Amino acid sequence: MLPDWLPWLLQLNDSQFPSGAYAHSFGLEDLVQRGLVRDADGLRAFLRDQVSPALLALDVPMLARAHAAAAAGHLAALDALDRELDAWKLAEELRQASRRMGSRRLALVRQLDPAPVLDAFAALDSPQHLLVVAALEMRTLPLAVAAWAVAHQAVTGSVTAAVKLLRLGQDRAQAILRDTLVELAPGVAAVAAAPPGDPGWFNPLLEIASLRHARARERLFIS
Amino acid sequence: MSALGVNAAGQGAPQPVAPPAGVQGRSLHGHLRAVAAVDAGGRTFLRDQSFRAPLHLSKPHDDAGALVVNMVSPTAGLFDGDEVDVSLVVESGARAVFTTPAATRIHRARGDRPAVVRQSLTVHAGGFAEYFPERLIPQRGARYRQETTLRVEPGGTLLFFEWLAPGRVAHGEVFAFTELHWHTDLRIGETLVARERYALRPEGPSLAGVRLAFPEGHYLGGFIVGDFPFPREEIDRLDDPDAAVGAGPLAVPGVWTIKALCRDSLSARRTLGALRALVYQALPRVMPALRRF
Repeated sequence: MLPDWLPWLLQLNDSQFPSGAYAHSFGLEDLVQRGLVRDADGLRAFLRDQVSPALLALDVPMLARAHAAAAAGHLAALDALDRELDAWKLAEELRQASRRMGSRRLALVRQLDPAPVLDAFAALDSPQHLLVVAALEMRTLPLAVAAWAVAHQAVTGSVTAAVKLLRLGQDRAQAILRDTLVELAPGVAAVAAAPPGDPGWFNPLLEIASLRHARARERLFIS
Repeated sequence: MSALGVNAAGQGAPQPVAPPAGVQGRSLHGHLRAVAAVDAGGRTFLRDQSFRAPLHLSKPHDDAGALVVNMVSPTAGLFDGDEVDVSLVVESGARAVFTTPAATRIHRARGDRPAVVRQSLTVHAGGFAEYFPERLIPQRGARYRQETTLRVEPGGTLLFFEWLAPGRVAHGEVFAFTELHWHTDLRIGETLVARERYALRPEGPSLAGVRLAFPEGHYLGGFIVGDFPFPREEIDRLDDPDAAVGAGPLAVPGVWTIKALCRDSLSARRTLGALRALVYQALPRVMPALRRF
């Protein structure tokens, strides 16, 4: 027997779901332009050494806090976390991308799965970061499932962008995606089971890439 | 190391002698407090100061209208177990530059305890503060924890820079430290504007981004707060094959972040000096020389 939530979770995580993720590379475009990510091996290393660790050290732990607040209907805590995410995201492009994707997602989810808590959150003057909205939309699911959905979206988004930026076929891209997800899965489960108390991650290179991308004259992606 | 001595008469068994205040076993617990204020003539002076090893203040001097305060570590650097609390306050109307004349070295830890520095810098409305330290060098086996709290009241100006070296590169030490914890919060009034939490370890991926850019990369960070035209285009032009440089606004108007990764110490020093000069040009103010660049 499949869980009731599986069909809508698959819909929300499908690449066709119009959250705007397809328009963002989250700094990868600048790294490709700098020649720091050149090919399939470079993409594999980027996902393993930069995307996945950031998910485990910062995104999933912050999601865990937001998920607990959302499950309890604690809007004040969600609002505080949302504003704290503004402070975490130093690069303007990454901050705005997270806000735009979150806002878009919240609007869609309110149409598909109306709920008073969603309306109440939307009525706040919150930044509506993607992580907080994801926690709200998946508030009734186990944290491990929500964490995996967020991780899957992030990795898939990077690979989708890479296909447009690199000489990389779809088959090779899917193989890299599969390997990355398989490698990442135990870590996501472990962090969801016992989120660290002190989230944080160091990647000035990606921040610089995003800061510079915001002012690049030629670019494919919004971020 | 026990602290034992002999009584004044030189008779009897050695008597225990209490260690000097701030010394705990093999470690130092020091502090540095300074409050910069402005006198009736409009000159900045230190209204209050207090310090204990391993830090002390050299005599401040005026340069380009600002009080330049050198925070000096007369010891060889910080050792595991050392703890230092730094509190710097710049009151309304005062202009102060806090700097260090030489690099701060973090030595190899003899145990599991890190060296800890807790530092806060508060700038009141109408105050001007620059924090411009020399590089931090974590040596092989070093454990270090740095907690930085920056608070700027609306109407205050802050230029905050930091420089993290990969180690003693000339000795072959490149990211050979054991562990660095780096906590930074920036608040404008009561609003949290920037938060950074790093745990850096040579093994694992925490330094992957730095190493991808430059295998022996130096990290530069900065926060700029103030009501003046931020020189973003000029800073963008500092980006070159030896330095990846980016800058951008934070979520609150008038607050900016600067990040740079540099190939080596020479390019880091050149980039940091250029960043500082560009910000002073934009203020516009004459830049205190510091006599190092």
